[in-house]
Amino acid sequence: MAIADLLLSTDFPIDKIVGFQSGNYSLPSGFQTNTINHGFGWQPLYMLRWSTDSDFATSFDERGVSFNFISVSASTSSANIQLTSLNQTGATVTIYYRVLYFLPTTVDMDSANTQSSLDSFFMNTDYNYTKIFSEGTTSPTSTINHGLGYMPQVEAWYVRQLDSRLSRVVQGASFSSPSSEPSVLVDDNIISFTQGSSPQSTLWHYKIYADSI
Amino acid sequence: MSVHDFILSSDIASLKNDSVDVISGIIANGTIFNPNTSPTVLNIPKSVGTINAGIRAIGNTSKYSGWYLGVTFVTEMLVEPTSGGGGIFLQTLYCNLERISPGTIRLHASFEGVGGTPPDFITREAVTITFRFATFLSPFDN
Repeated sequence: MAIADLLLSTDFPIDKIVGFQSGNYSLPSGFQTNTINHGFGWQPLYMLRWSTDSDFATSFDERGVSFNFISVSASTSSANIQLTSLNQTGATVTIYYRVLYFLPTTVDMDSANTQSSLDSFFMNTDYNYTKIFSEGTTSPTSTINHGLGYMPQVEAWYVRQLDSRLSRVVQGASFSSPSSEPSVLVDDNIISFTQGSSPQSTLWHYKIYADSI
Repeated sequence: MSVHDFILSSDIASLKNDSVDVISGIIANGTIFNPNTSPTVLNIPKSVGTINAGIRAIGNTSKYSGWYLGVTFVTEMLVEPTSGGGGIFLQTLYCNLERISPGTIRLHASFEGVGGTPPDFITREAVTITFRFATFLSPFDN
């Protein structure tokens, strides 16, 4: 049986949420950076979701480039997460955010209990648990042969040369000329990482899952 | 003991994968839009079954090869002003996966604004935008 046919395989770890934060802030027109201390003391991988609705009825992953005039980007250091927002609506809005944190392979640590305040079940067999086939770090422009024979789910974060902060890849770009942003191409057998020039990446953190997409 | 030493832990929340799906749409040759007042050229909702914490996605355009990691995707299309001349040129197109209600994801594509009061534009080629994506259950209960 293929790994991807299993909800969980003890041969492969799953994503463990070692911390989470939520909150809101007021965002006038223009750019604004909000710095929120996470308290880890190491640079976490993360997933951000944001909304202008307190119940997240309409919500976005990081960035949100649709023609809604608001976007939120994130980056982490060992001390904090910074949310950089752009509001072109002409009016002040409230941004609600939720962040999940993961442990990078470059850090080993125990974790505080995060389960009791989240779902009632730590496992629920109604849902799949994406199995981490391979994870680690790789150089700014590099290729990883996963050899799965199908397109796997992938997560990637890059460390910015400018300030050593870490950002999740949320935007792919396909133009007649190469894109300036760091990007990741997913193939049936290969994952290709590109350094980009603005911002420029100095290191990639990645997770390749046995689950297809 | 490090978090990495566990396959899973009953003390640590895990990321529950709810669904894996595909959403795709065609921007037809001859589509009229206005970069400032009506820039949206694709607006396709799709039920994903449940509330979610986030999306893991790869995006592709039929214009160029390759699947790029990300819930947003930026590409370009040939367009032409419907008046005032200027000829055919490549215009940046922004594509995004958004949650628009509990249980509904939308593929939204729009052209970037050009400032001022532009004339209407018309697309001069057909392009298919596709996202393959996985959704995850929210540990925040909505």
